[in-house]
Amino acid sequence: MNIQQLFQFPETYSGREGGLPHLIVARHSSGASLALRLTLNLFAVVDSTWVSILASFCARNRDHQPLDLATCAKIFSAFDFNMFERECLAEGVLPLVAMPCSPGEVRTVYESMRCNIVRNLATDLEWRIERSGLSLAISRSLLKKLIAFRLNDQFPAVPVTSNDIPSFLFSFNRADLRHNQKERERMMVTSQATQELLDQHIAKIETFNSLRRK
Amino acid sequence: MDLQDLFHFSETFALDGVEDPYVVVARRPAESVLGLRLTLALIQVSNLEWLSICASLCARDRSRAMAPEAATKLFGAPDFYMENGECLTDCMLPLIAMPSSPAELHTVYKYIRPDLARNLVARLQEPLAKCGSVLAMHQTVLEDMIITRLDDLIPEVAATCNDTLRFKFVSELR
Repeated sequence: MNIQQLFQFPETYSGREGGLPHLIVARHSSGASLALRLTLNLFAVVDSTWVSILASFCARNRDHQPLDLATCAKIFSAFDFNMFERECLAEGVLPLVAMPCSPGEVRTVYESMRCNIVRNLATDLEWRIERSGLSLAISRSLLKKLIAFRLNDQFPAVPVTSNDIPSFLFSFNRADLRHNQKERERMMVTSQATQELLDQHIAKIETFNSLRRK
Repeated sequence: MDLQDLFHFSETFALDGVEDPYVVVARRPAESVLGLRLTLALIQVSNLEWLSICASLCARDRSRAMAPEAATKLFGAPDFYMENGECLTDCMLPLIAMPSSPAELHTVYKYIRPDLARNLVARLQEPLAKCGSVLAMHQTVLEDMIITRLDDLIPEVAATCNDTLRFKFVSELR
């Protein structure tokens, strides 16, 4: 038993595309491992864009080298591996809130369903691991805790800043004023602005996590 | 009392390239009018971008743009400026800072809605009174018109959420 097993530190490795590390959650008898990464992403579903939880799985062999698609499909049969640009990945998505929405709303929705999300993801993961003939690399309780912690980091609390004084004011700086030319574009503008801010927010989280890793 | 007063029709004028018309809210002898148009706009307040109600005022004389100085003299409102050949000024009410959503915007609007139209009319009347001008329509009519317009601009929108709580692989979703 090594020190990681003793203290139940999860083993991790970085995907080729960088970003948050993948946590090793399952192992195959051949020594291959399956790792999970949870991030917050924008995902297109039909004609809407949804703020979604993305569960990304990648696989490595005994020597920590990436596996090819055929091997992944054979060893991790219950996971839907596909060849992405640089690596074989299986990506699971849980759409949470459709755009336009604010970070505050995303957090609220997540908070209201947190327990079920964690339990469902952990249960689904265990079922797929068992069906593929793999063994869990960490205990069940630690798996749930890790999922909960990881998700919690992805949803920082962002309070809404609003004005409750209904007083109109003259003399705003015109240079800072950007009129919406057509009112029918209103929702789009709101959506775009929110989306841009959310993108920035996600980028900040990624940067923060990569710095923390270093 | 003319027909417009009787049936509360409001006189309007349109500017080139602007979709919504300006509603005449004040009038001076001869044919000088002050039009009001309500829109939503993003404005910078401190370091934040606020989604705001913008009451744009346009001063015209015999269907032509007025000089900013003349507009201030006739209608009292400050900071008239020329844009695309029109004499304009803006009156703003920041509602909610970005990032925010249409649903949150409506919640804030609903909270201040009861006082909003009355406050805007009072804000318009203030400079008008200083230079001896009056509203072109009855105060309550203008308040109703403002609220109707704002209700259209800020509809009630609920956030669309997913409560199935099931992860699906990407290939299953597409």
